[in-house]
Amino acid sequence: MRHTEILQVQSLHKHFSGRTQPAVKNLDLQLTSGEIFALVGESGCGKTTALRMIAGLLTPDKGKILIREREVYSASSMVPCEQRKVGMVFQNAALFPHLNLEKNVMFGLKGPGRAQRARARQFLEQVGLAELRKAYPHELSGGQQQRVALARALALEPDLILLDEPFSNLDIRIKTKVIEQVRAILTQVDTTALLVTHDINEAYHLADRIGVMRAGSLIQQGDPADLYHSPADSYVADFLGTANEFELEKLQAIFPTLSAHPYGAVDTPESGAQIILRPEDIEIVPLSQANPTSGQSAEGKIEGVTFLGSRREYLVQVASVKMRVSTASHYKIPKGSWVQLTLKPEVHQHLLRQVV
Amino acid sequence: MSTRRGWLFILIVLTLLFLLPFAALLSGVFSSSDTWGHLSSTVLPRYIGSSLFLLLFSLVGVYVLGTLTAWIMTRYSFPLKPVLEIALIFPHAVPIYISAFAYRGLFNYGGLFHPIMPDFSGPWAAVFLFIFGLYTYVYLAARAMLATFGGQFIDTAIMLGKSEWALFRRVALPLMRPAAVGGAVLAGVEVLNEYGALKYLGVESFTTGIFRAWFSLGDITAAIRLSLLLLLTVGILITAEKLQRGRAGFASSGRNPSPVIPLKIRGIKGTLLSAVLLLLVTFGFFIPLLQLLLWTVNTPLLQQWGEIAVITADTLVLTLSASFAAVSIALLLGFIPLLFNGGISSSLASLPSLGYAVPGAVIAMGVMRLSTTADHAINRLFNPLISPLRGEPLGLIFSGSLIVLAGAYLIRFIAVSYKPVASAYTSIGSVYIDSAATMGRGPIPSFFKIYLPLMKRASLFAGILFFLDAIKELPLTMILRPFNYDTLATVTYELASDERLKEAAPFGLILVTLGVGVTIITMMLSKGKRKVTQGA
Repeated sequence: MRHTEILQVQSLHKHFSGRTQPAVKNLDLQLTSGEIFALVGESGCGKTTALRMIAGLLTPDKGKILIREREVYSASSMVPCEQRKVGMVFQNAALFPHLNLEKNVMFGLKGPGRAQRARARQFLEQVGLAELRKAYPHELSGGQQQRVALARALALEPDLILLDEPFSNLDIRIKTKVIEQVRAILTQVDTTALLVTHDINEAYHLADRIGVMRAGSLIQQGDPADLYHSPADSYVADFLGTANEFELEKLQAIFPTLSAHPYGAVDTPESGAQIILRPEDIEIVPLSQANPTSGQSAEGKIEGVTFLGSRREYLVQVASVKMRVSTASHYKIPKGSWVQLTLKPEVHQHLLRQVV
Repeated sequence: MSTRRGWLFILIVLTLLFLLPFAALLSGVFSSSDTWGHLSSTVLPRYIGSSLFLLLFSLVGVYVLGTLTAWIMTRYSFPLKPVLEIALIFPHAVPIYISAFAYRGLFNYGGLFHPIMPDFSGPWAAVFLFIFGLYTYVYLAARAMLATFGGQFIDTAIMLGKSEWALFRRVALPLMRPAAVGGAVLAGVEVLNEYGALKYLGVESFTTGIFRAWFSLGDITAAIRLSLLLLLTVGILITAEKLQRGRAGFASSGRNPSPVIPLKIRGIKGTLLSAVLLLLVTFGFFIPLLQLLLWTVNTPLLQQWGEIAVITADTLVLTLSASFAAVSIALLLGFIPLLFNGGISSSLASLPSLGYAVPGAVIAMGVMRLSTTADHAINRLFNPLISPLRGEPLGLIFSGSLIVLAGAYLIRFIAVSYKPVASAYTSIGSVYIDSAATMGRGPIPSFFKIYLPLMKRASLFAGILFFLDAIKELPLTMILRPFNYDTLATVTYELASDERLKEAAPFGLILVTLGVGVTIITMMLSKGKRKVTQGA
């Protein structure tokens, strides 16, 4: 199956007057049909600015935006937002409070009233809210409001759906469920979507690919697992999950055989290179149950234990460094215990990367 | 985006239209004047001295009364508080010139208070009327600030063992100060704007001077120069307010609302508190009202009925039309900045509101100069073509027309409509414009189909506030009204100044009744809960 390019963003740039740094710096992005892409980053990193420029709600300084190979922005052309065939779901859903759900969905539709009504009903059914079509937005939960907003955007059959932090106002209890519902709907209608969020977990749940932005620049983009295990720098590593960061020399002092291992970037390290280790890359056992010491193991003392629901995180002092190590939550080692830490075998194949 | 430029153009044109009279005023200041030399050496020092006297004493009284009332009404709960919640605002509905002739009647020969004090005139009488008629400006502003943000500060001070007096002096008063001074400045503008009461009580001021220069001496340049001096005084007043505020805007910015929980005052203390506050309303409202009622019931209304009906209808048509226009313009002025995420468009949209700080007589002089300039230009341009056909020149088109009068009301009072509308727009935000745009709908459908329905309540509020101010306006109406055209305000003033007090009373009573009715509706509207949940 051939994947059509739905969105192409080339060297997009925006500098707000009065600011010292550009909000978005030379952003390049491609989305193919049916793909869900998440642009993640801290508040103020420029991700929403990028989204608004793609939507046509903000004029870029330079660059090019193509939607379905149609140029919607360049130095010589600017297609208004309302003509871009782009749907958008806003952070607070932005449902019109004086219109019921059906009329909200009908708002952007054209044609005879009856046809509009039927279409609105069809899309409300798609998001599982057809029965509530006469209800008003304030009568719905936050999750329901976001589903209506999605139905409203989808009803226009846009080429691209833009999701601007749509889950950030939702209660943590229902957030995952709503994200899963949205994912199912987007997959069902085979729509291309661009999500903007500061919450990496939302991106993991929803996106096929993730792009990490920092200070206006897209630092790294790709498959979520690749990004998690092969972050471009320590910022990306930290943003995508808990990370232990060490100088290679210190880590080699703890795990002496590390530098001799045939795999990974550590074979030809640069002096002062930083190594990222995820907490789950390290095995932890009480010293009493430890295997005979190997070159990949080290001893340490647990200085702190944090219960995190599905897992338990230990802060272990090993020689001069502190390491965070995680296990399944039912596995419990008391604070103050002496433990053996071992690098998992796959670490050497996939998980260890040099960060300059 | 290009369609949005059209909206920006509308905003710029609207703003310029509102500022044109001031430009006309400035351009007129250098014209020649026959009487300015005489005026500036004889009466001008008196105008300045008298205006400053009125300002100083009225504002001190208004500030003390307003802040004390705000404190009592916020901090305590007592027997008549629910009644006083509404009644304390009633004096706002009584124009000062109506209070003036009602009080004068009471102290005149044959009046109820004549045996106690035989005369009610002069600057102290004016100060008395200003204090009891204008304290509402300070009271409303200070109370809103204290009631919304005072709770946590008062609770903290109580826990630190402060007495009630210390709570007022060291916590409430500093907290209320920015808002109270802002209210006092508006009261100051009203003092400087007053014409009817001062003329009636024989007190000279800038405004009476402007009337004298224009109506008695026929010297528009002198009137314009006096207007600019008056404007300068207002400018100094506003600058002083801004300087004193400094960084004191702390109370409302970035803080969560923290309402004050009232302390119950029972028994004799509660009754006394109610009585004192009732006395305030009595001076500012009940006494003028009762006097008007007494005169009205003793007047053979049947003879006046036709005239009353016509003038009331004329006034309502004029002020309601102007209110409608004001709300429409305010809705546009408030909407356009949403399209541009504020910035310079917000500043442009708020420029027309400057008119509220400018006395009516000043605006009237600017508008009059502008309309006569326009008339002259039109006559110069079209008379060679039209005069031969009509057999007479075009004559005055704008000058002395109702449209110009309504336009002047807009310039003077657009701020009272713009403020609630802009505030409602701010709470709704621009997200619906963006949302509609992503659904293929531009700003026009967004304005008509989304924002207008959501703005119903704010629009009604804006219209009512404008109506309340416009219907009372006297100096501006006196200067700009068409020949032989009267409003309730002008007829009340003219009959009263001819000492035909009983004949003036029914007109004044209608004005006060309309004012009170509108005040009650406004209170109900502002207290009512919003049915529409924003941002749902």
